[in-house]
Amino acid sequence: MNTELMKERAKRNWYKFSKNPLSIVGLVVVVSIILIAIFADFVAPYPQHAFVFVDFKNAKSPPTLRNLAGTDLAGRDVLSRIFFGFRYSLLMAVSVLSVATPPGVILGLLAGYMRDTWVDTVIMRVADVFLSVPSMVLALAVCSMLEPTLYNAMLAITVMWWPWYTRLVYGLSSSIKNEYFIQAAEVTGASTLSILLGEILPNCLSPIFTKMTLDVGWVILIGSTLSFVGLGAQPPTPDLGTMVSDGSKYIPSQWWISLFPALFIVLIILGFNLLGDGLRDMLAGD
Amino acid sequence: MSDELVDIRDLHVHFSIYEGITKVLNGVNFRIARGEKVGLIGEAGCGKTTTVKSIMKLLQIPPAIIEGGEIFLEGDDVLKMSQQELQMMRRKTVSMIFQDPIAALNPVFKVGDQIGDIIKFSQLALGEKVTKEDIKERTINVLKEVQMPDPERIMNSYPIQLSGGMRQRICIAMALVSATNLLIADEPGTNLDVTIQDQVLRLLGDLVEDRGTSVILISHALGAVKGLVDRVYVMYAGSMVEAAKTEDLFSDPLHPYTKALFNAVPKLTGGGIPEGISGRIPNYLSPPQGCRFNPRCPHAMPQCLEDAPPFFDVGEGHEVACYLYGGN
Amino acid sequence: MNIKKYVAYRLLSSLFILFGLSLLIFTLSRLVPGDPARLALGAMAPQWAVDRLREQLHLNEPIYVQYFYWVTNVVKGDLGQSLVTRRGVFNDILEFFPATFELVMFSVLISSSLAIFLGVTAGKYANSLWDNLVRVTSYVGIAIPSFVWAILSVFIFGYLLRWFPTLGRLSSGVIAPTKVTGLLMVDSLIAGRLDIFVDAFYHMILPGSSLVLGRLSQEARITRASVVENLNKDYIMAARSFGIPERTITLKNLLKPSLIPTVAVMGMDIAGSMGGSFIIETIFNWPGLGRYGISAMLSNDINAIVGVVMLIGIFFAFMNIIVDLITAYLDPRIMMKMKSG
Repeated sequence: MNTELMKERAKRNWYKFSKNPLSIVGLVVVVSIILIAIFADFVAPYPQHAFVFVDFKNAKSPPTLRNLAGTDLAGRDVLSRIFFGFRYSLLMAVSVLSVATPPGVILGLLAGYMRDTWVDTVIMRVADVFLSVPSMVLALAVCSMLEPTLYNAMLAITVMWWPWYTRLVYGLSSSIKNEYFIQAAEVTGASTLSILLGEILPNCLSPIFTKMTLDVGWVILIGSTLSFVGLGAQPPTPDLGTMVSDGSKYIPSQWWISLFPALFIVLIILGFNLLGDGLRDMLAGD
Repeated sequence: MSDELVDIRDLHVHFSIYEGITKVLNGVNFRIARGEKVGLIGEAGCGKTTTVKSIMKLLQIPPAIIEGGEIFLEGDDVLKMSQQELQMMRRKTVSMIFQDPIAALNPVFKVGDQIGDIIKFSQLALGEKVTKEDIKERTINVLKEVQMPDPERIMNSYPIQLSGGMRQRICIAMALVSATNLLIADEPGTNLDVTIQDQVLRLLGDLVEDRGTSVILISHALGAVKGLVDRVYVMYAGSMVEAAKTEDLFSDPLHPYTKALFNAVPKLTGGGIPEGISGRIPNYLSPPQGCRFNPRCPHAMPQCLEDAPPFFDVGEGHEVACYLYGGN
Repeated sequence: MNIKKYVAYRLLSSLFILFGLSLLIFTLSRLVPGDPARLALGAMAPQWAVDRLREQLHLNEPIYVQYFYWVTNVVKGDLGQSLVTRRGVFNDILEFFPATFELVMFSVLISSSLAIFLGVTAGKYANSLWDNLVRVTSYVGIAIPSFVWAILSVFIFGYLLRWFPTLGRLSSGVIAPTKVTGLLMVDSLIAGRLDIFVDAFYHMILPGSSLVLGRLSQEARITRASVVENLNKDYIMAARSFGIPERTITLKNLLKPSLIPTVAVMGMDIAGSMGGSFIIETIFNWPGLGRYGISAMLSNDINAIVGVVMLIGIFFAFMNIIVDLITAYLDPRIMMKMKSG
């Protein structure tokens, strides 16, 4: 593809994306959060407060110019911890999606391509089993059977996330497999693997990618809920959900300890949702 | 003018879309008398459907904008009617057979149910109350009229269970049941097999013959129109370019566009495959000034580029919107 | 394939899936470190007692044998004993389920009605002030995790404004009516005690709204999108062209097809809310299955965890079948597909 064509494509995509101003808001929010997460050491006012730090003189003080979001029960600056907390939220989303999506997609491709064979039945029934309880319940159950750490929480969410992709790709794959170009590939002796990955998969990329972006918000939502319950990251890790939970004991008097992390959770999720919607509008109708 | 059923005068309709304003209808003039059957032919996209939808005020405003003109239906200006009056008009006076039957039927309701609703409201408009049995009876009757086999079963079916031809006939039935003086048929049967389309048009012809209803028949198939209507309008790019009695139009087309149109139809005997009309239909965002056909017209004169020509009467009800025939 | 066959097919397939679920959860539960017998008897119990209990619970046998015993027990209604409550898990579930059921059904029914109303009105008057308001609010609503709203609402409505109670199902000092269904709202009406009814109602508002806020927003969005899409359809214009009044069009011709995606989501939402109840019931100290489940999970109470998960799985499967039937009723095209095999 020459660069002229690519530039035209990029311009058209941007036009479609920016039609809804909210998508731009989403993009700005997400980019800011990512930047803050990466450069937390430099952006946070008190980077040393992130993990273990004690300053009881200043503990539980309300928002002031010195501590824009107040301090928590150990005297740590809430805002700085929030900035470092972004890292864990993003880490969770990235890890879960990058680990859950490939197997989910491959299984979906396979099951859709081999529709109405035993391969299809087995794969989809297994997926159905994982989808037979609400996500929260399964994540909680798996989490509770393992030691409560951030990584185990990620594992729990990953374990119940892959079937959504399998279902999505199954639908796409089983309708695409009837197209002529697939039959052409089969006739010329292409291997199943190359058909799946080379012919069918490229046609599924848009919906997969769109779903992934919209899923980031969900993963962060479930992840923060798990930490809130105590089954995720443990103190002193500055995870946003854990921070809300820690601070919940001090509502209403020291409301800021819970409220600010909570607001930022909402902000992250909202940002990714808006961005995801914008991407979906951009990729749709192509 | 008072025995004119419909009289459209200088109608301008624009549509507001993201890229700008499309000036779709550019001074449409159209008349149909009581009991008359009129054909409306023209290429896809020339504004036929927009025109007839305007008669029933079915255009969504926005994005449609009515920029000027009047539409008289039985003497009243449709554009100035209140919601109540419009509803009355749609129930009693005019009804439409839509182009795509599968889209015009609600997929989640039974066919009998949909017809029944129309009966109920049109009878209400006539000041008569109807009972459920009455509605059922009328439904069965109209289904028989459109030659549906086994009306009872059809009534209880969903649109998806019926064939294309049957769905088209249901649409006709729905239009008939809505007590009308004017029936607008928008390319009936056009999505169907040619033989089915033929049947549908024949059926339509018979039905309106019995009732003496006025008809506006839209089509882009010239042959279909010939056998059915008394008069024909030819439309191009948002305005009427020619109007004449059917035989006159087909034997002696006058407007350069009409002539080219007829020439473009392949003939089985002699002539081979014709060339078609060079050029393209105009972009409605920035249409040509004056007569919209001038970029493609072999006879274009300086006048044609300035003002759109009005209808000139060349006798016997034959009118042409072309400076070749008048207005120096 | 008619309705009866379809339902039978679905029930069978659900059974199969539940079987798979039981395998999954059973295996997972056996992965937990620690000796269940020791945990049951406590650190003080003598080793011989622990060993004897291990024999009784078949803990020394291979895993598939254990599974077999487990299944036969489940069929008898014996889900084992809870480490926490020291009672049969089955009895615990029976006791706590009604509270959760009431909370979930009450919240979902109200929120779905509201979502449909918001979605239809926003869609019908698209791009109006109301529509923009609904859209923005639902965007934000989807992004708020239930626990965040729970805490926020407790703070605002519980402490600051003191409009609603924040703990439990009834105010202290209010005695529950005689138990007929276990659903306080129903039982209090049966007993003719309007005051208890109102008290129970008030107690449901904060936890209920936290439970369904995100889902309400999503349902409203989906309904709105569906309405907007259908408004442009030819059959709506056709209905108008026959003079059918706007009101009828909105409530009949437009509503039925537009609700199809909403109903599909509603089913998932009812089930999903059962999951969300775990968190909400803990925050609001609601004596339901969710709170029971969380405490089981936090204390490694295997039998209880397995029991709760299985129950929710059953409820979910049941819910899915009902939703599919309702969707088939709303959209005859689906029934046609079913009939053609």
